[in-house]
Amino acid sequence: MSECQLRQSTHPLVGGIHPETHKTESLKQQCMMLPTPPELIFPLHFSGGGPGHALVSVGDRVQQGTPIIQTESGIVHAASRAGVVTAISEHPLAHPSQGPSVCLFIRTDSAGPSLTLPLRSSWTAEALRQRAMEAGILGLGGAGFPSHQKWGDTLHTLLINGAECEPYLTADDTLMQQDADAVIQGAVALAENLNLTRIVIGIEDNKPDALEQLKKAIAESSSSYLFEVVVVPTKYPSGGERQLIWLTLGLEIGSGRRPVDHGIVVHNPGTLAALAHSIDGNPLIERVVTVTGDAVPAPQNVIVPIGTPIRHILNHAGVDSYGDLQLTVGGPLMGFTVHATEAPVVKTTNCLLLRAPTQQPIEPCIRCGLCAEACPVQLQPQRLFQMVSHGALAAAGHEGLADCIECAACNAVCPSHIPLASWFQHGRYSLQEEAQQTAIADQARQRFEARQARLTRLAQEQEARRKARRTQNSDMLAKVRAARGAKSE
Amino acid sequence: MTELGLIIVSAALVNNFVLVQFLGLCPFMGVSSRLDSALGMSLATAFVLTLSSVVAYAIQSLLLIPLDAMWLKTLAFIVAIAVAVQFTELALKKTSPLLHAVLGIYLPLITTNCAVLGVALLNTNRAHSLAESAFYGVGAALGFSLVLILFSGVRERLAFADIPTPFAGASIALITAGFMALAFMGFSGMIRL
Amino acid sequence: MSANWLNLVLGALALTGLTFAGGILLSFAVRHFRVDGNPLVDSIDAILPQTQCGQCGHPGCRPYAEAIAGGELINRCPPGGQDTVDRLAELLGVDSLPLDADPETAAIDQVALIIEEDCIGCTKCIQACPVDAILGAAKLMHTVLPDLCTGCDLCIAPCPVDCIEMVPRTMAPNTWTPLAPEIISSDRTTTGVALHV
Repeated sequence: MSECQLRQSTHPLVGGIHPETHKTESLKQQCMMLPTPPELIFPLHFSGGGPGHALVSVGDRVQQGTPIIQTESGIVHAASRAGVVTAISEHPLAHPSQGPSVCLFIRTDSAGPSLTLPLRSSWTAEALRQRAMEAGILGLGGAGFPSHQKWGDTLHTLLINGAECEPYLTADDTLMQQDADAVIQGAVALAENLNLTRIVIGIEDNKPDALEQLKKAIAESSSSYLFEVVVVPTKYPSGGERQLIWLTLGLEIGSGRRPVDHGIVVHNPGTLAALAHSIDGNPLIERVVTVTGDAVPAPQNVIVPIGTPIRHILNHAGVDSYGDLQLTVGGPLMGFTVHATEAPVVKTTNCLLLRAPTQQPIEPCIRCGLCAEACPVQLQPQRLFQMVSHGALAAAGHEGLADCIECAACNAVCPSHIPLASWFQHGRYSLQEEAQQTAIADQARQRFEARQARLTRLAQEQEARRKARRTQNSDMLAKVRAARGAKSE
Repeated sequence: MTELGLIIVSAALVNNFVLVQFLGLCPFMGVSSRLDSALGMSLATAFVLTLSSVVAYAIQSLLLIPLDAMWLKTLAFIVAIAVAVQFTELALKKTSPLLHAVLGIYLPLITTNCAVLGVALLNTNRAHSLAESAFYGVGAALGFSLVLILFSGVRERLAFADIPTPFAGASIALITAGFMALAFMGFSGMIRL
Repeated sequence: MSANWLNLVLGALALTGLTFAGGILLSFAVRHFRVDGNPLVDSIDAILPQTQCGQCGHPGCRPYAEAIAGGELINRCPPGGQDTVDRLAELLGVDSLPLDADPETAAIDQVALIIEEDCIGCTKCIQACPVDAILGAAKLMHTVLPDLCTGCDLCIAPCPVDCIEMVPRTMAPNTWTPLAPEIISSDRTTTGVALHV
């Protein structure tokens, strides 16, 4: 039986904002499984884990759980439902770039037996990593980082990110209420195999039901771990990785360093639940998605098979026409607008937000400084914006542009409606590109100088050999002459 | 001792050479667009100012006054300043070639900087002793450096700002310098010297 | 002011003596502060892209860096792009210039590709590559390692069977560029710094 230690956070978050949370609407209905859609779509290169290639061909029949995409990082994506592969061709994506990109299409039919992963009697760290790759587990909190890559040998603390601070989102809340056992089981499995000494759960104080369920699951767990449950005040962005580490553990992760460097691994509760299910043999093929917004008649959470077209989910929630409504995938702050409703849901899709368009005219910056007050990383967004919009990227990097977490809190408070986070996203990408170019140039210079050195050395060696030959020859000549001279005497 | 301290404060703040006496405006405007070049320029000018005020005093007391040739003081001081500037340029080229390349033409232009010649001539006018001349030079150097660094900090920020086209470039810089001069007028009357 | 001749001559002599003394002092200073090499060149070379292609008119990036330290124009490097020109301008404290190259061809990132069916294994391209990006040996297949190739195209000319082509570098299929948002209208002028779009 595990012990649960409940406490309040003692490290307040600097900066941040208190937007209207809009969470009660989507929690009213019970979360159900979405009926299987007629077609499932899987992007080959944008499903998470890097570029991938198809493991099946057009015309193949697949079961639920059949591996269909193998990615560069080792992550394998499985078919969410049984069916026949009908095509591999380009299709729009639910991605900031809008796609289109190559996707694999499956026409679903009646369920047959599903393909499961083999059960094991005991687990090791390496076996767990292998299982996470085979089950296609990646960070379900939005970033989609392959989870197994975080599970090194120097970790000591697991932090479960139950904050879900962004407005409208209630997917993690729902998961923690309905599947708390799996979350705790996944946490215990990870902690036991990676030799972690500490398990901490960070949760916002607006989720009392989820907290109750987690406490119950901890009590019913058969491990001997102590679970520290830290309740943090509702504030955006308390769910950011570094922000939550500060709030729960009082540790500040320095600029340029990552939590794993400090021995801390942070996971979304959905990721841990998926790990628990994969240990029981089930690959990651579905997830909880929040469907909400003013334009949705029946806001709710729904368990969605991965690959379901967005349109299908919106229809289920009562939307029949879109007009010029704005579809945001993700939350209102960190999400992005998607125009093609036929794009599919991927493993990182946590929310579908449908609202009337909210475009407001962009005006010049008035130096009010509200963005600097709101920034949770204590940057100066007004200075960074000036520099990035003038192309002075080096100066912006000097002022901490690389530390921006793109939370868009500055966007929300700006009275001129300047899209600051988009500027910083562009600026950070350009900085990274520049750094890559410099690294490539440095490598080229090294190889060039090494080559020059080698050629000079070869030339010198050749010259030395030639000189040695000459001396040898002249010595021999001198000897012959001396011998001749002696003979003629 | 307090008199020497008062001389420094007076030369640096109350009668600041750039913003109150309006001497040495050429490097002030020309080198202040970047903080690192401003820092380098202020160090170079500070060195030249101090050195030349001392050397000028030496020339005056050892050469010009005994020979009753004070009518040659301007020429003699210019020679001393030119030698000091050339010396500084050579030293800078050795220690920081990047700074030397960035400062470019403004380094030899310290020779014609009216602030440097002004310090030397004012020392003569006010009949300062050796110590007083040296401290006057140091004070002038400190004041010049302070203003140059402050101004370059402001100009670096102005470079990214939304300045209307008619005001962009030298115009807004001069307006800013005017505001700074107004601010420095707040020091007047602090010391009567 | 006494206007007698002695005073005048003495004064002139004093000034001349002073000038000579200053000159001698400076000549010592010149010898003492002699600079060997040019560290400025290192800073410039660190910014250049190291393709060693010769498109700037100099036989390599370091000779061009030395030329820039001596006053050469900074906008002659097409592989570096406008970015490199701007960074050089910032380093040297001068105004930036537009890149002296056709912007369309300069912008394409290219790598060399050996058409293996036609390769005869003569090693001429291997000898020409300034960064050793071609793998191979005499009478054996040659191949370009795209990660090491800088796109300088110095290998094209030496090939006796003309089997090397320049092709665009393939990007990973999941790359995408977050574009800059729209520039809001304002009264400012751009001060010669390139905007990244």
